[in-house]
Amino acid sequence: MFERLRNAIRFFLISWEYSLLNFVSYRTSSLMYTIYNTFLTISTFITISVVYYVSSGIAGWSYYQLMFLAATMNIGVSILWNILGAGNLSTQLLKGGVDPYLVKPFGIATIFLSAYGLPSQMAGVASGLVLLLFAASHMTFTLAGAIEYVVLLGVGTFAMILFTLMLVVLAYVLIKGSFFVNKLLGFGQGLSKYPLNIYGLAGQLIFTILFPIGLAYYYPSRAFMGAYSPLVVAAIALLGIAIAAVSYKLFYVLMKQYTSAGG
Amino acid sequence: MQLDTGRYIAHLRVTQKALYAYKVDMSLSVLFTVLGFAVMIAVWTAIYAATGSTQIKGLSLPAIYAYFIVIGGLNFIVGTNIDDQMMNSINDGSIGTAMLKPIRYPVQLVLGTIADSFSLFSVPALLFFIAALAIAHAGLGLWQAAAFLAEVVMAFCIINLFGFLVGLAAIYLTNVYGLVSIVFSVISILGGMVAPLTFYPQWAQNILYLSPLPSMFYFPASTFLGTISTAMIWQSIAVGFVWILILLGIAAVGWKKMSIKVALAGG
Repeated sequence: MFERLRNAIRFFLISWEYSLLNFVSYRTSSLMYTIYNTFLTISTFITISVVYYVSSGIAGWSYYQLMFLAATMNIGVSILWNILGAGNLSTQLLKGGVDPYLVKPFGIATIFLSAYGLPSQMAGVASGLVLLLFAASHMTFTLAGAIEYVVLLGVGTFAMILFTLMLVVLAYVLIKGSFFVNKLLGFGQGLSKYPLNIYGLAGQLIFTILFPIGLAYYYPSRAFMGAYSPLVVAAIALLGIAIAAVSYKLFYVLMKQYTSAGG
Repeated sequence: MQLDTGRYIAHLRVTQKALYAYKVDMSLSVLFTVLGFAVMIAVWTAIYAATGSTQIKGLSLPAIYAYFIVIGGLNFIVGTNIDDQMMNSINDGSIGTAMLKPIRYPVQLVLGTIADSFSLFSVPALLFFIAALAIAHAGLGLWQAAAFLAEVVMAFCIINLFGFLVGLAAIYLTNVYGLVSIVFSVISILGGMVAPLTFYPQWAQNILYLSPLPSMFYFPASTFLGTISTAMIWQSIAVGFVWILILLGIAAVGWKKMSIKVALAGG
């Protein structure tokens, strides 16, 4: 089993390196994407700064805490895009472009996650990290909080990746649409920059369980701020693992309905 | 000279039909635009609640709701797909055949973007505008309506001229998605889509009011809701008009030079 896992990781890393080389070979284009992804982080900084310039911001959240949450979202979403370019995979499913990959001796999930990453999002991770460190340097936190943050962000991002993978195939099966997942993720990106509690209890539940973008970014940030006991942190991590497992299982069930471009 | 409008209308219809073919994608596009602005409304509700004041920089919470609803409506009609059309036709070589058609290529692009923005999304946009007026308890005078209409047309021209210039870059860059994303992110943040520009520091406002950015969303929305003075409306129209002339000049020169390169490359 470990041998299989080792091979899958090796295949993923080689594929990702190839995608990265392919990306940087178009120098001007890669520069544009780098500037754009950096600008997204800068625009987050500007938006939050404007909010706190004219008001007291959001109740219970200081300027730096909100900046920390937004930076976490930037990093998490950029990692997600780095591993899975959902729009690209959606288009290729519709065109039958994934077919040549399916003959490779790996699981379909491994193949898709290896072949459809977007290294263009690297700048989003890097600039998000700079914003995160800037915000964290103005906050008080404990080592335990920082560890809980890393664990929950890791589990949450993993859950979001598998959830998105499942969603791409679900969109293919139900509506044969190529824009849906990108639109949904864009919407999620906008909403998860802000604390989940502003969307009410219903919103909080929806963005935790049904569309776990809040699970991936909001709860880790709250854990960093010391809001949860270890038991709650463990419960959130378990929920993340459960969402990942269900998404993974559903992905394979839905893939049985993949008919290539001819269906 | 007799203007043959029939062929332009025919081209518009064909473009429209192609867009109607993706009904689900189109409906979802509308849905997520609405949800995106619903998020902004939730965020500003929380901000007003925390601030404990009924007004921020002279704007009440209902006025903010109305502002974002108007921005949502504008977002449907003040858009461009010229950059996309140009990049695709340059990359797949179809620009060569497009340039042979009896309608000039730039005109084809304009018809394509009109079909995309106005014909498909004018109904949801209109509903957004009516909802904004109801929420703000505001009326719309004749002068205000005329100024708003003029500003919307100018916004449409400016955003499409930006789209055209970005599309031209595809001849050199091949893939202009990165550039498109940069341009539209700047428009979004500095054009008033995330917050009214009066919320920005005064020095930033002074600089932005001289740029074409507020002409695309902030000025039309503020004119519609009557939250800016008549003098400011005139200034916005004058600045917008000057920018259209500047961008038009750059676009004309750029197209003249670039179209030769396209022809040389074989389309």
